[in-house]
Amino acid sequence: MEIISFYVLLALLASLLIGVSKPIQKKGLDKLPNMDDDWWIAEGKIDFVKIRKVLHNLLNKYFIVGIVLFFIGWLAYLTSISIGQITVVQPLLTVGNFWTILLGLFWLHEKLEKSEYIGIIITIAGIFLLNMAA
Amino acid sequence: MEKDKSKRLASELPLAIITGLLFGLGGVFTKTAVQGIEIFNIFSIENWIALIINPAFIGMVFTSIVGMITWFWALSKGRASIVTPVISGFMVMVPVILGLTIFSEPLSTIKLIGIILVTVGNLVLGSKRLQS
Repeated sequence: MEIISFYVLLALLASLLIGVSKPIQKKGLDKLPNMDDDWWIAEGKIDFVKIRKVLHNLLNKYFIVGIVLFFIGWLAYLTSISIGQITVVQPLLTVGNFWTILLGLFWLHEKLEKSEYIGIIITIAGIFLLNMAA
Repeated sequence: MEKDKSKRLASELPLAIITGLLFGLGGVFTKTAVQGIEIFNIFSIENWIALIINPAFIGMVFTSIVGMITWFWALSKGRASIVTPVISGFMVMVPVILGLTIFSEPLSTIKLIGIILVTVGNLVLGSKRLQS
């Protein structure tokens, strides 16, 4: 018996990459200028200069890296869901917060609160059971 | 001002539910689109063609794009502490229910507890971050 099912591993990889890509994309989006609801209109006409400026600012390294990570994660998800059960893969895809907290703990040496340790234990137990059911 | 705020907050829940439903359905469309393929090989052109010509692919793309739009809309109108857990909940619930009915996947006690624990764990880990 495999310790961890291949498609469970792929689903976890997908959730890791997609989960990590979100804060990186957000950091990239922070480089955009302030945008109101009608930011793309100036004096009743479409403001192409502003649109070009926004698109230019969007092509920053954070946003691009975020999109690339998201895309690789999506490919892992696609392979995982083609092999495995949707009732296992889809719940595993939502454990993005788990990876963000773990990265904060091991990479940035952040201090965690008691509730976060409890959340980590609950999530690991859930992953363990879903792997058993896979 | 106060009326505007309450109107804004009243739209957060419907928008979050619609987003969760769209993302959940997106998972179901994805599963339907790759169902004929034994193992989706990302380097196989044949697999990509089989995916793209499948009618479910249109549903997959549609739910992803519209879901993204309603997601940003929900986050701009409402509170992240309400919007995010509602979306996550529906994102899990819809594929699980449809997986059991449409794809006739088995539901064991172990799987059910696993789904609940993963969902609860995600909410516990997300709540602190959303507060800050």
